[in-house]
Amino acid sequence: MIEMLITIAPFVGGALTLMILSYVYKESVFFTFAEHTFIGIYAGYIAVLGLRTIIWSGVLSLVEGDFTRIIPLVLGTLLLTRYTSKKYKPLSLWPVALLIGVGMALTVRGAMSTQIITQIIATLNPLVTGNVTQSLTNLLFLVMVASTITYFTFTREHKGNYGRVAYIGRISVLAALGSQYGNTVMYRLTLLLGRLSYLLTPPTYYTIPFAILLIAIAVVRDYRKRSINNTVE
Amino acid sequence: MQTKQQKSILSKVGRINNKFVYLALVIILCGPLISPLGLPLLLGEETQFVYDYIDQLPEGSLIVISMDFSSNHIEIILQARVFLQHVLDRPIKFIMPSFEVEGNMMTLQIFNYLDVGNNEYGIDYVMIPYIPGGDVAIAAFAKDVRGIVSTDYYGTSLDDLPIMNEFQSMDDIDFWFVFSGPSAGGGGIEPTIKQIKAPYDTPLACGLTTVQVPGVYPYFKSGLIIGLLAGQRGAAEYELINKTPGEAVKQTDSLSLGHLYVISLVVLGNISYFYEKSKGVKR
Repeated sequence: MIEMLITIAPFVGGALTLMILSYVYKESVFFTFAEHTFIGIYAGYIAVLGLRTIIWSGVLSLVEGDFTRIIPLVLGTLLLTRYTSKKYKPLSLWPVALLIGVGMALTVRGAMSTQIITQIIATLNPLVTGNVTQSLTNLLFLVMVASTITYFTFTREHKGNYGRVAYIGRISVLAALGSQYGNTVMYRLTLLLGRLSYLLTPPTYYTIPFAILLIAIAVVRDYRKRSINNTVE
Repeated sequence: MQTKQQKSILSKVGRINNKFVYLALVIILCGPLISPLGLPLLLGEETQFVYDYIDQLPEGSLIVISMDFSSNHIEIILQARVFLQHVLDRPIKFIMPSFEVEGNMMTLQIFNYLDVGNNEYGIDYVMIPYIPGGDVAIAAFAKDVRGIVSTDYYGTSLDDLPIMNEFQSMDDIDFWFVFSGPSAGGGGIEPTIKQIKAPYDTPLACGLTTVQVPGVYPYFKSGLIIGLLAGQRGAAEYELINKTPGEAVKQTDSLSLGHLYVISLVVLGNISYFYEKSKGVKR
């Protein structure tokens, strides 16, 4: 049984991939089927994983004698009271408060040193180095950071020299956003490339002729429908 | 009725049907996959630093490789294949936790492509099951792994695994590498920097998708991480440095042509836009 599933898996994967990619032509029942299949499988996987985590980390440890596990199990159960009547809903606020409090504390612990202090130190690079390019880069870096912070300071009106510095900050932000956009385009291309590479690997590529045939039928059908509509008009 | 300006080729270029644009993109990307061109690839310092650090780790070093990515992060899958093979070829041990839902599944899939050689599971490497909680999970793992998990992914008690007897505190960890996908709520590079680098000062590096690189690069420049693998290009660079060119290098040709195609579309689109604007054509 498992060997059979391993054998047909590439064909199923290829077919689902082509169904999703058919959206480029138009939304169809094939795309909808593949989309819903993916969502259903993913939701099911997460549900099983969550249940397994609770059983392995919570219930089994409790059974083996670690009674401290009662506390997270009770708090986790209290979270579900959000879906009960108004009378019991406030009970869910206790575990939520604990989650948010602990999460915030841990996040702030590392954020101060890594995201603020270290980054400020890294911004202040020497402006006079042995390398002209490096010196200019360091200067540009400092100017762009300072002007960007100026741009986002709204306690003073952006007029005169202050406004000019803020304008440089605005250009810096646009340049950064442009770089981010370029990376996003590259990322999307990589996603498509990954799927195409998968489709062109044997035995998955045997699904491609069937997909081309179905798309050709759809294109011809649409063309004839459009021709008939044009004739009627 | 089309005006004379709208019939102009410069105007038509800006109105190409999307379907033809995508079809051309697919053809351009598939070409080098079928017949590689062998375009040159410059090696980045950030990838070289990661490779050199792994290469210079002494025998018997214990590292953590956190698998915090999903099945749609193709770039990280390519990075993980070559990176893990490099680690397996070296006499170092590694622990693979996962703070992302699909991390364990992806680890199992990647190991199908690897040659473990003389490495033995439980002695040289181990897989820890998914630990939910993001920042909290990473902090708890670092402080006391036995406090949050008692078994490995296969259900074996951690005390029965020789490799886990070597991990009593973060002082035993010589290096932490995280494969980080751009998803919210799980693990990733930023929680790892806050919970591992900040309190313990453990050397840290990461493998990222392309979209994350601009946001994480400041950490590299400030010295918080010693290097990073930047998307699919990072995977290709690592394959070349490791002298094992594979899928990532093959895909780089397609990626380069794809980028050129997108740039040309942007240029043509802008030419068409400014032409129509100068002629007063309404879109």
